[in-house]
Amino acid sequence: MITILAQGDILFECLSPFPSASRHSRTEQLVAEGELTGHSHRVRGLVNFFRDDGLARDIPNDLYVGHLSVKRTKAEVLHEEHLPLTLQPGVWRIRRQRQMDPQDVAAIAD
Amino acid sequence: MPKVNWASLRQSGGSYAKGDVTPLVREVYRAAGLSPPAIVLETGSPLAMERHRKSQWFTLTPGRPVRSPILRNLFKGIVQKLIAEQGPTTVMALDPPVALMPSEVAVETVLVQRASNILWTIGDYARGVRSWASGRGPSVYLPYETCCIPQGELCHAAEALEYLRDDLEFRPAREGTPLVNLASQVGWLLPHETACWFCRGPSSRVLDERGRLHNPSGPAITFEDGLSIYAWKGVIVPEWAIRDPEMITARFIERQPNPQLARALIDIMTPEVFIRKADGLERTQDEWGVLWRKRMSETMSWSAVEVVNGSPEADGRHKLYFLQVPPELESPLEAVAWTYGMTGEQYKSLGART
Repeated sequence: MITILAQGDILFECLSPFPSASRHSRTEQLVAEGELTGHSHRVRGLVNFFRDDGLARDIPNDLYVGHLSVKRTKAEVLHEEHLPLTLQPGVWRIRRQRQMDPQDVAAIAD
Repeated sequence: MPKVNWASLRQSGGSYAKGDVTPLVREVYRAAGLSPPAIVLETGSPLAMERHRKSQWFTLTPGRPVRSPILRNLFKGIVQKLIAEQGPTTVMALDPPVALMPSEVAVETVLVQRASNILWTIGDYARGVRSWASGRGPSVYLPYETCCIPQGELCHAAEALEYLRDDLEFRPAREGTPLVNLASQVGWLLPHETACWFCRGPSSRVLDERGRLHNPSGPAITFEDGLSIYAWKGVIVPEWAIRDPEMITARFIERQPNPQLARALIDIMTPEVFIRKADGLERTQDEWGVLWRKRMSETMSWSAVEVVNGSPEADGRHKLYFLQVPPELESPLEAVAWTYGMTGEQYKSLGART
């Protein structure tokens, strides 16, 4: 079963317990930034963030944020208004939340 | 002439060149193979344009509307010459997949890719052409929306013509130059055989991050003659709903026949307040939240899911969130899952939420 974790309007799905082989890693990665509050979801740890739309065909339009490969040790997701989340090593797919709009459906970016 | 930023013109308004439009209008008619109109009239807004057309219809006898011939003739002439001169090879060079389409469609597809929203415009041309061709009688008063070339469409057409003419250097596209020049000075055009009404672009316009008319504190669009239009996330709403949102009542919303307006008013009022004030809401609860549903009429329902924030506030309490969801969802689990683009089954494996 896929592990799912959510922090506010951002959701992480663990697709594989094995990190990708990329050598390009960062120690802090901005995942999503709020349009209204300026608050952000940031990941701290040795991670590699990438986007591959081909790996997100099963996600509704506009919800796909990207993939995150967490290396060796676990990483922490931080946000000003939410408690931290811990991501175990592996490949995580990130999606944002949406709601109905007066005209259609819109992604949430608080 | 300096290059016009069409996207900016469409979005900001107010940066139109101010010149004598009459010769430009006449040139556009000629370029489209029509006789120039005897009368060219400037008004302060699209509404004033239509009011004048209506009140002066029998005095001016403007003839049939020529919206479709203007746009269609210009594009058709250019596209045909393009195909004759360049052949499908150029189309293939522009974009290999479109070369598989019939060439006229393919060229239009290239236009679509450059001026992203022009597809519906081209569809409109086709519909307009058919109605033009089947028109009988010298002068029939047709509804405004079937006769007018609105600002967005004028800009898209100009942008596409300019792209063909300047970026791709297709000589036949030079025939579109009068329209390009006109679009840099005119917002809305209401062209008929012997009379053409126009107004400049709006004097102000406020859009949200998705490019929709939206202003929570005033008019979303204003015109030179003082006409102001209020809008919320792209939906036109009454002025009082923005000026004095306290006046919005659940009862007024429930009576709305227009679902978009009803949803916009709920959005202004906030779903939380609507749930508190409306009568006859259905409530379904499970461990994932509370699903609220309001049946407005036989064909229209509204729904929102109430969820508790996973992280506590400074005072230890947990904030409630109300997210609007499609009314066909059956349970809070399904509704919360939908907000992340998942099924209830998928979302059930949620390990933690903060």
